[in-house]
Amino acid sequence: MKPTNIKITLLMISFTFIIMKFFNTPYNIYSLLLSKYETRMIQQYGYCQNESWGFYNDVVNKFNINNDEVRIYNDEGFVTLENLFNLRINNNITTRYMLILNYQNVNDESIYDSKFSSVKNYKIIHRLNNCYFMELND
Amino acid sequence: MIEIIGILLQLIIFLIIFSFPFTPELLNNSLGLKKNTLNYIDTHAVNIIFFILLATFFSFTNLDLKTLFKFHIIIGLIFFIINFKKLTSYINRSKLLHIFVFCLLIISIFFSISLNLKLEWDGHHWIEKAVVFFNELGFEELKNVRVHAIYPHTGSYIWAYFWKNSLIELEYVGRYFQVYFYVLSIFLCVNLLKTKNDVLKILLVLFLILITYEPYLLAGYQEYLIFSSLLVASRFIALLNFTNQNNYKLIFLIIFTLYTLCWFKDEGIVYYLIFSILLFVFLNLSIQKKILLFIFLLSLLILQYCLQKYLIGIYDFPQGTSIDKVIKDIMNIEILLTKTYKIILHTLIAFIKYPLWLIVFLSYLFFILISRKKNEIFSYYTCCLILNMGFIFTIFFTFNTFDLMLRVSLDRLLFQTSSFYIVFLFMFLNEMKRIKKINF
Repeated sequence: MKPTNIKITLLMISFTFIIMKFFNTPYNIYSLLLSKYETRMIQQYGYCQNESWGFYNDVVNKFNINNDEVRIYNDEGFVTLENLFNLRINNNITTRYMLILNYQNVNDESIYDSKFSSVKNYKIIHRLNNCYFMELND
Repeated sequence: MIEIIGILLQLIIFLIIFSFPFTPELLNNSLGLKKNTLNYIDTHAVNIIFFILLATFFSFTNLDLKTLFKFHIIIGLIFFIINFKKLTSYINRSKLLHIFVFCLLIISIFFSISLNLKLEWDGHHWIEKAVVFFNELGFEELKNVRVHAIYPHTGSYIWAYFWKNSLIELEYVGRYFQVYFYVLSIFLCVNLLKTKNDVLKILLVLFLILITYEPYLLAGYQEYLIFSSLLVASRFIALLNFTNQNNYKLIFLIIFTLYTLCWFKDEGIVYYLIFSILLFVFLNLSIQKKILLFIFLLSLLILQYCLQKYLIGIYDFPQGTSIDKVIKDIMNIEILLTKTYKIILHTLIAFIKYPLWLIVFLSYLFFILISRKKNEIFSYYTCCLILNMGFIFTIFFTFNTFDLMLRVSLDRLLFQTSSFYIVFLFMFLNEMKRIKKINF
């Protein structure tokens, strides 16, 4: 092997180590192989905590509410994820569906005693911990 | 596994589609430059600027993104195949190292994003427009987005374009364009260093990536688009001969590169005006030609105004300001001093957060110390820097939510323009080489 080729090869190996160490590439590839997209999104956004991507995903897939208008409230103040799910946010009190995420209740306070306007007009369709998916009563 | 294949495929797609329409020979001839002035990296960058301008145009046509992409990839492939021999002849031993590091950097950042999927705060706002294009609702719907409907949309259009046309059709793939453009622009700026030492160039690239890579800003923000575009513009400005300039084609290339800023973010208009007008002032052109160029500059802005106001239906700037309030603040010495102090403090914090600014200022100072003769290009960049900082100071002074904007925006605004002044670093290094203080 010519000296210049050896030099280039050694440089390539060095740069590979430097770059892969800096960006943690082997770990990232390994994690990508182990975790599906949904698992990674739940790790980043939470299931029924923080932005609650997992709950959104569950609701959208189970109840097929793509392109529907939904009232969305995240009681912990995190950003709402309607854009990641093709939902249209409409906080009008007559909107058919309502998502309440990370509801901050005190003692035995029920969702129906909460501050969300006209919540008594909705029935709970799906609930996990403090995340609620509700539909307007007929 | 399919995601990994999709990610690798995305790199190949970028390499193919951005090899169109220019080759180095064609670009050098078109711009009236000597044979080997511009290389493949320069050409690739120009092709990306060409793509951005085309994307802006096509965003107003409501054409199906998938059909558009099919044409794009077919034309890119044909072009790639036709020029394949020239491309392989370009790849000699030294270029192989560049290409290897380039691809490795891009793939590494791609994988990093695929694991750290979260969009940050502004990302959730910018994605609203991307969703409009992704769902093919038409550009008319842009005025109805809930947040920042007035902002330009090219970044979001490109996001949707690559999101929809990826193998895996996941949102984060749409953001890979920013990564590709960013890494390419870093490789591009290193061409400013007058050396044939490829290892040194790569080390400089790695150093610049180290100090400018910020994953937070790749989480849906648009700052890297402005950062990269300004780097491209800066590289081509460095090619101009300020004392004896007649290369109008190069000037127009620079104007169009700076024009893309207007379509990324609102403040891009200010950068476009500052950097272009100062360029006309410093170039050795007749008054008539300067006026004509200025009219052309304005006509592009008027075009943007008309397109946004009359086609999309909305045109405004985000921060409404009361002139009375500003005058009142300036007349009040306490408020004037307090605001000035806070802006300077947060600016210094931003310089530490994004240390490229420290490199820029240190290079600037050292260049002044070691160089006896300051040329026109140095004066041009100095004036740009002064006006740029003046704009930042003024705009933040007038913000209604002053403290909040200082905390959340100032550092990003400073970061996105820092790339334009990276030329000071290369001026300093080239000057050091010229006076034989260092040898590379």
